[in-house]
Amino acid sequence: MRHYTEDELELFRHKEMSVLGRINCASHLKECPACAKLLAELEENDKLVQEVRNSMESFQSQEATHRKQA
Amino acid sequence: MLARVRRGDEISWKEFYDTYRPLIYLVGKDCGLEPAENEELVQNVMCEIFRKDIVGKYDPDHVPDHVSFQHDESKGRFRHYFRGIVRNQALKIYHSRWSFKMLEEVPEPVYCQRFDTSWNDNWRSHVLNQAMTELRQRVRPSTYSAFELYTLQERPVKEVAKVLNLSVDSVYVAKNRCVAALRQIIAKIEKEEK
Repeated sequence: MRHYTEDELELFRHKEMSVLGRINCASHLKECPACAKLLAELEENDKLVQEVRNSMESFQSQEATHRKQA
Repeated sequence: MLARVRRGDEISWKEFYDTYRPLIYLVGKDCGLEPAENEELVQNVMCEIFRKDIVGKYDPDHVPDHVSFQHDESKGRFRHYFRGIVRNQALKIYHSRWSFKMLEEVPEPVYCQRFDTSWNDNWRSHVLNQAMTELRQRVRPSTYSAFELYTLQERPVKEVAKVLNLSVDSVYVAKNRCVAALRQIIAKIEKEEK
């Protein structure tokens, strides 16, 4: 059984795959715990990215306010 | 920056000020300080840390580059040492408000609890910001640009690929490479904090 790569799973979850590709990938994910785990990890990465984005926004907006006041 | 502070490297006033001012300010804001009080908090914390070098010598907003900070490990971990100073200075402002009857009705233990929660949240944000700075130095500029445009600015993947002259796959590769590196950097910082 060929496993999907991270990048292929990114294409899958962002609906960038062809229709046939998506059907094949979805049925593979039902049977392959390794690929399902990798997909879950990619979704977990989104949470970290969101946290980073929020942190950077709060620090940057604070900096912008400070510069404006200065 | 955090690693250099922990190692006891000399850090210039300006670098220290630029790095830690937002953290102090955000914590003060969460604790309900007014902007003017928050500026006072930032200045008081900085003066406390650089006390021997700047008090009575320089205007805190115009300190020469040669004035530097070096963490003394006998004072404990930098994170705890720094937190203690910010907390004490915030409490001083809190007490001075009481004396002028300007304070909202927040009992001191509640105020301290609010400080602790805010400190933990904003310290985490500070670590993430520092990790991003390190990430930018660690990966190739094109990889970082793809990551920044796609994940931080949330631009559509096809647009990012077009702007950077990459394939869509390559944008995803860059993103996953950066997230993996970011996790390593954060884990390293957190390990060093313990």
